[in-house]
Amino acid sequence: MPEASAPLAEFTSAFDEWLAGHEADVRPLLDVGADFDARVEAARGLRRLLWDAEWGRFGWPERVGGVGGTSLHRAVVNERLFRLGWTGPTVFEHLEIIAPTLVAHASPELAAELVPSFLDGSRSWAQGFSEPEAGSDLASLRTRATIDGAELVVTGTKIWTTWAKYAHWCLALVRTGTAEERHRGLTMVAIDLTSPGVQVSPIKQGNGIEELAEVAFDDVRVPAGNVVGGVGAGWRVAMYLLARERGTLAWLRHGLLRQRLAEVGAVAGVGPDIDRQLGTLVLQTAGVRASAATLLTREARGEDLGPLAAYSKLLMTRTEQSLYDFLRDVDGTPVAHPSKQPSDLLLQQDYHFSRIVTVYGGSQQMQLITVAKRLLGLGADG
Amino acid sequence: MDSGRLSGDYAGFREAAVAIFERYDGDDALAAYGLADVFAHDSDHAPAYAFLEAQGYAGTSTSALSALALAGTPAPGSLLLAVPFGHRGLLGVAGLVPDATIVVDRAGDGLVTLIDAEVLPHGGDPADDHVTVLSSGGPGEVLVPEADLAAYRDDIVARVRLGLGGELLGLADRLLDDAVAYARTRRQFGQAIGDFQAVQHLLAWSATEVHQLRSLYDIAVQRQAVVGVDLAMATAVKALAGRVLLTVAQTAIQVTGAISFTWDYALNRRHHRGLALDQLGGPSADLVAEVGRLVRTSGVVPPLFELADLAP
Repeated sequence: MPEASAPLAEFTSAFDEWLAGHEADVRPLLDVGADFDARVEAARGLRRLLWDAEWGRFGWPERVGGVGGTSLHRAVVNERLFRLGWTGPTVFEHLEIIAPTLVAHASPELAAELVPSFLDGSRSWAQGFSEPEAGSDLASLRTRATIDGAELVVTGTKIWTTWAKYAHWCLALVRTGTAEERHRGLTMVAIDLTSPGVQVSPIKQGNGIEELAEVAFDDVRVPAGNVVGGVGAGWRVAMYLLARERGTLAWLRHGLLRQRLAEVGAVAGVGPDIDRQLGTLVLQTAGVRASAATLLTREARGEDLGPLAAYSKLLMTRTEQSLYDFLRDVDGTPVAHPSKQPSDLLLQQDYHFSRIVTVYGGSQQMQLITVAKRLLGLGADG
Repeated sequence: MDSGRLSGDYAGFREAAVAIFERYDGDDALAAYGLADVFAHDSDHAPAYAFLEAQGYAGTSTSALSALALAGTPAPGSLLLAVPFGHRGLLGVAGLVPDATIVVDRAGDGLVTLIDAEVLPHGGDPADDHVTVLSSGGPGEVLVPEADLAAYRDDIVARVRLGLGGELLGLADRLLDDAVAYARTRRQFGQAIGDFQAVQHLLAWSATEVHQLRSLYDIAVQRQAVVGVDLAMATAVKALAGRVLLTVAQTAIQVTGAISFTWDYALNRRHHRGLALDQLGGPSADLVAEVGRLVRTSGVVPPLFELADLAP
């Protein structure tokens, strides 16, 4: 086992070596078919396996059960798994979004209490941001938290809450100030979803899976110690989280796209006439890989990601849509009428999901406005 | 200050070169920058790539690409390297000066002087000669025999492609900067056109294109210092650079409006330059197809780089 301070190349080859020696344990957890519940269970198993073998502790500080290192260590682990044919981390994608936010912004006590069970796969998290009347205009959200002694009392409704059905905890953005205060009146809080007054209602999506849910809070009492980042500082925490969701997460997600691209040559009847289209996609994917790697490097150096994450989000989602457009055009049958084969079903699910990637986590139009105003200095209030 | 670049050193070299191009032109800029020293002292050619990017930003031509391509090879100094232009068997030279010795890499012969090559006159406006285009000519004197050159061949092609990728990046960056500046000042309906979301989205997409090219290029430059240039990576950069340049040029034309379609307007000159650079060292349309063909036939998507390359 290398030290967390060892060169990344050394860590990479040591992990590769371990994978080669433990293929019998790892491989059955990487591709378990198209049933989402089964995929979540396999993902939990994989987290547990990596945790016990210590690879899952790299990239996390010792105070939350880790062994140190940076997000680059986690990125290496994820990429190596994709190269072995992984179909993805399902609900543990949030490990790259919510867990770093807890480590950076929760009190040391709260982080030490909640993060280890997330990292070892025994607990998972949802992120409560969008509301029925607050989508792109997130700062208009209405879920209210009133402070009552050592507790917060939360009432309101979150929607499009990804993986809430599987989650034990929800990191929710709630209003502690007035509506007029907009983003200055918001607070981030970790809510135990088993608390009295919480109701999670799964939503069946356009691709047939129940990853999304509506989460209603009715006078839910939350210890004040569960506030993450301080009362009134929720927007800052949300921006930190979204920079991960829009930015560094692209590294994890591009792993699957690379796999899918590699499979194209094996499709019957595919010839040189598609080379230019395929080459365009390969280069787009290289652009995603490069911009995500650059963000990861900045993060590992402790630099602020800021609005740069918008570039990664735009590149990642455009590439994902173009790729599935291409796969549909090369052979549209699995998308229009999948067989019972898991590979067909997964392709259909992923195809439909790719339609919405320019909506979640900040719509494409909002990302373009972020680039124009904050990076190019355009606009009356830019 | 945050340069937005992967390497702060690289950002410094680029900034220095941009300043030099404000005072010097052509090979005078090359001398002022001290490019020869870069090759004399170090196998890390980052300063040369930064110079080429600045050259693209300034919109001028020097012989830097030849110097970079042949550095460290057994070729004698002060040669100009002719490389493929388009796909009709023509050759192109950047930064041609009178009495220069032009060489070409011919498989089987090695590095040979170019004889009987005809300079193809530009059928349009002579001001458009950003690259000197030559017929294929014949093999003259062998300067580096095939047996000695073979080991350097891929590196030479890779440096040409990565160097041109840098120059195209600089050019795209400049087109974008100028278009953004125009959108901030040009007023219609009583406000800057850059206040309109339709215009903002156009420019934001182009900025995103430039960002992805810059990200890949920066990694390629950082990597060449550690593991040397890599042909697959350089080809990807050149292919992406050509595509990005063409997209950004179209956006810049759209944002700038009718004035961009006047001969003397700076944007138009830069657009013509970009089209010429795209044809040099492999047109992006061909390179993109080449990248696709490799993936289709091998079933492997080349990673191009590893994270460890960025955090050694």
